[in-house]
Amino acid sequence: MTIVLLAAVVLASSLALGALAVVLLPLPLDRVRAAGAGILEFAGLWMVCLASNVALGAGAVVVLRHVTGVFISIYVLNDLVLVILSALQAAGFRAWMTTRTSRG
Amino acid sequence: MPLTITLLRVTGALSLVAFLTLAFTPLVGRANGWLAVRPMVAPAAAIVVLGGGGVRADGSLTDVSLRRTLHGIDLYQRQLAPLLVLSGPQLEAVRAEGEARTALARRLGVPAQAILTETSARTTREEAVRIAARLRPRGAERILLVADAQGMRRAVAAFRHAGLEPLPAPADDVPSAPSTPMARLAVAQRLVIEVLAVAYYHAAGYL
Repeated sequence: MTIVLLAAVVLASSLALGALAVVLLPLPLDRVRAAGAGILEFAGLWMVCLASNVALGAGAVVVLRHVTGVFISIYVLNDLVLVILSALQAAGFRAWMTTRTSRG
Repeated sequence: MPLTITLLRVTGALSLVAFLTLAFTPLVGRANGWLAVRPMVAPAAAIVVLGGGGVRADGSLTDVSLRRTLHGIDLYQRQLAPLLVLSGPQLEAVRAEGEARTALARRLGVPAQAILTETSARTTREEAVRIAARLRPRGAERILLVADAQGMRRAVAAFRHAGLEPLPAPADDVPSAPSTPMARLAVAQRLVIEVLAVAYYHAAGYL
């Protein structure tokens, strides 16, 4: 039941906001497929950023523990904020990529 | 299309499929069931409650820590062991988790002489080594080990490596049979963390 409700809500809001975007902005309907590819690129960038942040963070924790003797819990990386910051990083890189494409 | 873009799209597609599968199917619950260590609650020489969750800014125990502590106290009051070991460091908190746990256990009727407080160990491996060093001279080798279900396999192995005979008595921090997408993702997160932790412990020779 949960999955049906959540899927219905997201589908309805996507259709409503999409219709608004076509009317108000206006966005071309023939670019929807390209937008889908953009979602995949963003999701891929997000995972790359998240994996890089976790790997770098874990490495920094291990090095700090062994070199300086300062104890930092590895669980500092288990924070929703890191996931959100990684999404912002990905959005930044995606915008950068789009700028390059549109200039080229 | 450049190869990098193709790789990003493939990674993104796989990530979305993984997210939807983890959040909306019973896969996580089943994986949790396969990986979790079954409880083996039986009489022992001591009950060892591992640190976890720490204390809040006001010095009170977090929900995770409270759940584990109450489980340990319950096992003690069921007379499954004469000694209750309460672990948990101070780190950046106002007081050590082990001390906060000890204060709670005392208020709930556990006598002071039945409590051993460990506040210097900061990791599961350090807890295993230091608690084993304190229990072995007392002849206490068979212990009831209280930790979360996801981390129990690593904790049991670490305590066995330290020379004790641990019996798992898990106190679940997250639901063992998650029924909502958020709960499933929480369990998935715990399982991923634990897989990485086990890999690290093996690489470091702790197990």
